Amino acid sequence: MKFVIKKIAGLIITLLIVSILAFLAFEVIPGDPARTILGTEATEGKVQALREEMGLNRPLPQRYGQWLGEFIMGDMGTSYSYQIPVRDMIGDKIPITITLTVIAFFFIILFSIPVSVLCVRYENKLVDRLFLIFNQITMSVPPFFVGIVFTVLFGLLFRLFTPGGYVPYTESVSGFLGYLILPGAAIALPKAAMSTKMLRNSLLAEMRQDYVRTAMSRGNGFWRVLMRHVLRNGILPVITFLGWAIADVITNSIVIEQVFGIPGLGRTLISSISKRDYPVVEAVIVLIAVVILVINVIVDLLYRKLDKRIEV
Amino acid sequence: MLRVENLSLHFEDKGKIQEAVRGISFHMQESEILGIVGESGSGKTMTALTIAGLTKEHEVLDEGRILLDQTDLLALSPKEMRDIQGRNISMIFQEPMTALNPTMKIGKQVEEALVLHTRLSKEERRKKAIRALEDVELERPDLLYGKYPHELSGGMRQRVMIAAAIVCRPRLLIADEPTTALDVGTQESILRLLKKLNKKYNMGILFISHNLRVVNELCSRVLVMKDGVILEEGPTEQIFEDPRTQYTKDLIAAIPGRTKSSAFYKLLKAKAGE
Repeated sequence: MKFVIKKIAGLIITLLIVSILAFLAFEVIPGDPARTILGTEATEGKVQALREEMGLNRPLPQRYGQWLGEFIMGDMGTSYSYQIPVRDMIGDKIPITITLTVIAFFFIILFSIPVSVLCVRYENKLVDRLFLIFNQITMSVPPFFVGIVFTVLFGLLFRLFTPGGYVPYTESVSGFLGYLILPGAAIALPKAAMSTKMLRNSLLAEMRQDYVRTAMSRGNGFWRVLMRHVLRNGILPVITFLGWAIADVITNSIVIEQVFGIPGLGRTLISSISKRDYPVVEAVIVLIAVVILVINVIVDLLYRKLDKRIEV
Repeated sequence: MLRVENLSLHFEDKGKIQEAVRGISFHMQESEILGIVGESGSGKTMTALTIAGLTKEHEVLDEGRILLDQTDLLALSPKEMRDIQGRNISMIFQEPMTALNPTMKIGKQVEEALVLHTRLSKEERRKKAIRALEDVELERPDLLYGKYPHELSGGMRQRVMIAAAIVCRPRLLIADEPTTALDVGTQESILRLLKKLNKKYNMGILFISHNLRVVNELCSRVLVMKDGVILEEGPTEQIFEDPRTQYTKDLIAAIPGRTKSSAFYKLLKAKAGE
């Protein structure tokens, strides 16, 4: 219980800091939403009048305070450029990005556990070495490039999917999921390679522990020892890594959405930044921070569940 | 029950073939407690691990025969050997702190041999595991069943190790320095426990140690090993009263209880016996 309270307190403080930083960032970077709305032809007087109307001339703490108050009450504000509530703008995009992230995460786990188990079984044999090379290469390739390669390979060469042929989930769930497979794999690949390498090494280190010999002395075979004893211990450091990796996976989702033409949060975020549409950007950044933090809490809980020695 | 014939063990170390054990032979009677003493590098642990079938994975070359009744353990396939491990032959180790799986409940570790070697139901396994925990004189075995190793002291963990080893009532328990990592008081109680289990279940114990004092307390017969060969062999009393080699004499002289500065040790022993 104490743990949960501590975690929630930490979560709230982190969110406050993230939202302040996002606010400050717009003070620093050049650009003016009023000017963007009115266009370059508008007179200085008109721009000033609009700034006054939008409340942009008030001091920063006051603006932040008002935004925060409204945000806590569930009002994310109104988009400057579209004049519609931010909630309506991003509400239907959140599931898209989250689905993409979850698919990518699923692929990371789906790849790294079986492959590293295989590499441990055939340590230093051909399979192990081949995956070592494969991982070393994919680890260093950025997801957007993998995305482009996938598009060329599967979209243009093998014609397994239509590049840019995104299917909204309101239209067909299976079509939607089907379209997200390749972008999900593109995001997952470098991280999957890293976690495979980590898990393989962690499992090999565990295989040399004393308790493995004890398990063998009871008549356990190699596979049983690996699956029943070693995997649970060996996966612990990798879970920590995956907790860190989630931020990267979300960031990469935003980039990959551009490559594959997926209308998720990423697109909204990037176009809103260029239009200086503060309310939208603030909302998206805080939402992403919430997702990352919540996943980190889940990782901590999972870690404690797997290893009872941990008392955080 | 157990007969080791002309056993030689080699392993490769940095491209060189090392000879760990050179053609040793010995036997063990049913429910006998046999001690093997020797310093590190004498080949005693390698011998123990080979009998327990735990050297196969480590590319140790073996020659000779290890007969459990009529079966030559060295001629068995790994799968056939696994059938014997934990059922007929069990082993306990030196480091109770690391020999248990840190993320597996005590109960699950104790009953694992039952999962592997019997068709008992979950409830029957639990009962047997709890009885094994009682056998090793641990209090509240029903509570211990759901605990993790880090919640237990070193002595308690070694008892859990023993419980897991005897849960299938093996005929031979190989104990490789099981008391070395424990404090003196705990050592004594573990030795007493092994003796009790030996009587209660007619379980033979092959006790490996570098400590002649401990061997003297527990074993009826002793082998003294050095550099991969057996220097001498005989009933414990005879080895102590009338050692034939200088090496054995030196070992006996090194026992702290026999030197004059043993007042502290006696005090500890008296305390442990209370």
